[in-house]
Amino acid sequence: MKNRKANFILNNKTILILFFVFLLILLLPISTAAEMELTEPEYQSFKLNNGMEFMVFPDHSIPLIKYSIYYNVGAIDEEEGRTGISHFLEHLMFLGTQNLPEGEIDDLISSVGGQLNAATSFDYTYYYHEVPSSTLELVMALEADRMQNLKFIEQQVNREREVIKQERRMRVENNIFSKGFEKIKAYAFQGSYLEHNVIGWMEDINNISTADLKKYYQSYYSPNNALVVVSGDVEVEAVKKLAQKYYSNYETAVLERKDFELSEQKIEKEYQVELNTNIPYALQLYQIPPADKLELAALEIFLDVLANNQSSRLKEKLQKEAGIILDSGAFIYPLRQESFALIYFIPANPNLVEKAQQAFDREVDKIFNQGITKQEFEIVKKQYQKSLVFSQKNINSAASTYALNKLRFNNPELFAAKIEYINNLTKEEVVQIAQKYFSENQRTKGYILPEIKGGVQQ
Amino acid sequence: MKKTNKTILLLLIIIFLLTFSAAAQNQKFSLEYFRDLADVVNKKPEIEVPDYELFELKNGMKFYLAQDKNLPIFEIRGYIDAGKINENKDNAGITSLMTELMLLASENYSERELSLFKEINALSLNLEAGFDLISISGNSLKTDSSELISLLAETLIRPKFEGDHFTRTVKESQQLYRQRFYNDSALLNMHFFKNLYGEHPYGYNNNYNLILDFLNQVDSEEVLNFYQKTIRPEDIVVAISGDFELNKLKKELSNNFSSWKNIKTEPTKKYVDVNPELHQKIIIVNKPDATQANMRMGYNFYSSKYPKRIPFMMGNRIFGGGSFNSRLMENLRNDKGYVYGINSQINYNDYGGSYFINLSLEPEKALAGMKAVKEEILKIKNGTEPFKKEELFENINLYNAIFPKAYQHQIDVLDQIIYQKEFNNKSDDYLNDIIKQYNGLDVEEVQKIYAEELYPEIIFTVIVGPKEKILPQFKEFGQEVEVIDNSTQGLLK
Repeated sequence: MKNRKANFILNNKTILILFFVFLLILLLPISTAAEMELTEPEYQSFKLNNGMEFMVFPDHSIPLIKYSIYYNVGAIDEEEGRTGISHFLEHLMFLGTQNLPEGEIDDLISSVGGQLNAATSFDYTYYYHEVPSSTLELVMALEADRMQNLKFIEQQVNREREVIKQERRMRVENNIFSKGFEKIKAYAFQGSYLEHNVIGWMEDINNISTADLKKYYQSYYSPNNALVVVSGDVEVEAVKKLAQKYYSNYETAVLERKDFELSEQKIEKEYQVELNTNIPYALQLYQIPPADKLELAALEIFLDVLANNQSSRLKEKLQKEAGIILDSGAFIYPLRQESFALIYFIPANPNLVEKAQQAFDREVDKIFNQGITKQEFEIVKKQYQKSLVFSQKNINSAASTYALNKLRFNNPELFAAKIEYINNLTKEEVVQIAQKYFSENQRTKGYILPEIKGGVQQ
Repeated sequence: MKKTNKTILLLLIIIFLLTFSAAAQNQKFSLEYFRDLADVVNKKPEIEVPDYELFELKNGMKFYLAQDKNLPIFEIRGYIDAGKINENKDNAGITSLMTELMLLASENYSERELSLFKEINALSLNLEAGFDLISISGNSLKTDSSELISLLAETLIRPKFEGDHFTRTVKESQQLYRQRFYNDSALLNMHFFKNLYGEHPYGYNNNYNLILDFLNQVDSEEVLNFYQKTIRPEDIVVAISGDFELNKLKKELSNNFSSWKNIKTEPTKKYVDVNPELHQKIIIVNKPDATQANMRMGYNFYSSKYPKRIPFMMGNRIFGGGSFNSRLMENLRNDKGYVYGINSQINYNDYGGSYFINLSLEPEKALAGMKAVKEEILKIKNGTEPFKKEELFENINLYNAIFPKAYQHQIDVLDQIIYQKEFNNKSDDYLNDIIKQYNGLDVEEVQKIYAEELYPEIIFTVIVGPKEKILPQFKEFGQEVEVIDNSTQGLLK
């Protein structure tokens, strides 16, 4: 009897405990990612009759503006023998115009307490000024001047050529990863617009003439190939008024684009580069579709699960468990044309390259065959949700995302479509899409290996 | 009525024509035109000091708490009064190893559990080992702030050093330090700073051979002992900004950190000794495969207590602080085309700083580049081309423009407040004091202070690059240099 009663109490206790556990689960904050919500920045856009586009993102929290002008031209538009010309021209844009002596653009922006710089990418070139909002007219006038009146003086061009050559030495030639990556990518995309990097080949930098640069400038630096983005302490009416004043008379140019052909890769390729390094690097390159294909979002999720997250397959299995790699990572290069994705891992020593490659292949196959877990999928979505909220801290970064979608595809709302796409995406679809683009016969395996295998530093 | 309509119509036509003609006319750009548009003096900014509450636990751990409900986020920054300064010759590199391990596993969570906990809750937490302080930074969404506080407690109070993650991390560190002998920038750092700081923890920490020696023999117990001596609640101050309920947060902080006690030991710290043998010395570190000469020229400088930091900072902005129109950029890039970038920097450490100029250029131009830098220094030092009023003005104008951006977010202001108050004995209004100071400078004062502290006669230079292309220039010039063969360096003790 006593025992039976005890059992009864125990049973009641168990039920009670189970009840509280259940209640606790209900009450605990649920960490799984809910549907992502995008708070879109407020912006207005307009277009001049000559085709020049403007986007304005007002945010009056501080009295500064970021004024950016994007030209829809970059390394992929370059011809063979003229690689690096987009970047070369970007340098010349700071030297002076018919109306401004050399150095004055820097001096004028500095004098108002502003900062300026530029960047050349695979598919665009952009110039930006971060200046007090009271100097909107100054930067609009300066950019209008150098859109049409750039000066090409042989002596200056040659001096700048030396600066660019040194930039190439610094960024590419004396950086083991960059140097190896340049060669491997050139092999992977030989003969295509993706063969060369933005900085161009040294031989081409040496050979590009002043006439080439002038022709390139006249071909692509026209109002109908430009997008202006102003973010910060600004009103759209002010930009409209000044846009009329400084740009409306500029004539539309006939833009000639080359054919962007990237032949489909059907057989796996491999390339090795031997360099003065102690640790090897393994790179896997794949073709991906242009950036307006929403499937890219699924590929990004796949790469996070495979290589980027701390709990990713490669970091968990190959780095932490097996100790055969030092690190892993992956990213895509979104472009207006077909582009590439790069997955890399760093074998722990040169003798482990093959073993690490085999283990990598096994992990990819495992995902292809068994899928990704719900937890892996939720982790990525949660991270995306966090990024969306934190990105609201800075209007400039949101402006840049919208601008690139406008510039590349005339579709600034592409980002919202991407978020909606991810919200409706299933983990099974992520794997299906990854299989479509990341199969072994579509990749180029590249290895950066030590020149002296088994050297003193292992 | 008709007359009024006519008048309005006429006026509209005139306005339209005027507008049209304004739009249609080609702009007559000229230097004067642009200068008129650039006639702007930025207002002296004022940085708003956040309304924070200082919450101090009985064990001495401090929290500066400031609510900011603009976004549903939670951000932390902080400092631990410990760093590489606590190391010695036998354990160089232990601070970085310790902080890396602290983030990996704890007594309650294995490495995998901890990384999952971070990622499931989208938590970001980092520790950065500096010379004098270890800095803390982290963030989460508002909904995950409790998890971030728990993670911080696991990391600071209950790190686990023993285990597979220890062995793996040491092996990874060994490989990464060995790799530094193949990287010209890493070699430049080592040979410059290990010489400049010499027999001092700052010097040991730049000597990769010493660090590799330490990594070859370290065990988890040694790291645990170091942790117990250096990471103590009374040496930690944390700033928290974001969307939180104050009382709830205080309770969470108490629950997580108030029972933490450690034994206090005070490490001995000493100032860097200046080594006169380095003065005017030039070292070429031979890297035969390099296609550039990567160069650093400099000397020992004041500690972080240097009272003339603000005028010196402004002088350095003009001389080589990074802008396209600094003196160094104007000469070596814009006039000569030698470099892509060149800058002069000051590292203020608590026990001895450094001043140096960084540049990289074609190996055959190494000597010419070095001479050009010295010429620029002499122009300031001798007063032949002193700083101009407009150069100072534009840098003050720049600072007035960018200060509000740099301190746009409350967490950045709070970060400065805790750093300046707790470690430099400054007031809450430190940032506004800085603004006041640089706005009050005149060019003569900046020129005098900067010129006084330029010492071309004691410059120590390290060049990493191919010896066969660099050495002949110096030989021809009759300049003595020491050559170090990098291919054997990794083996040397």
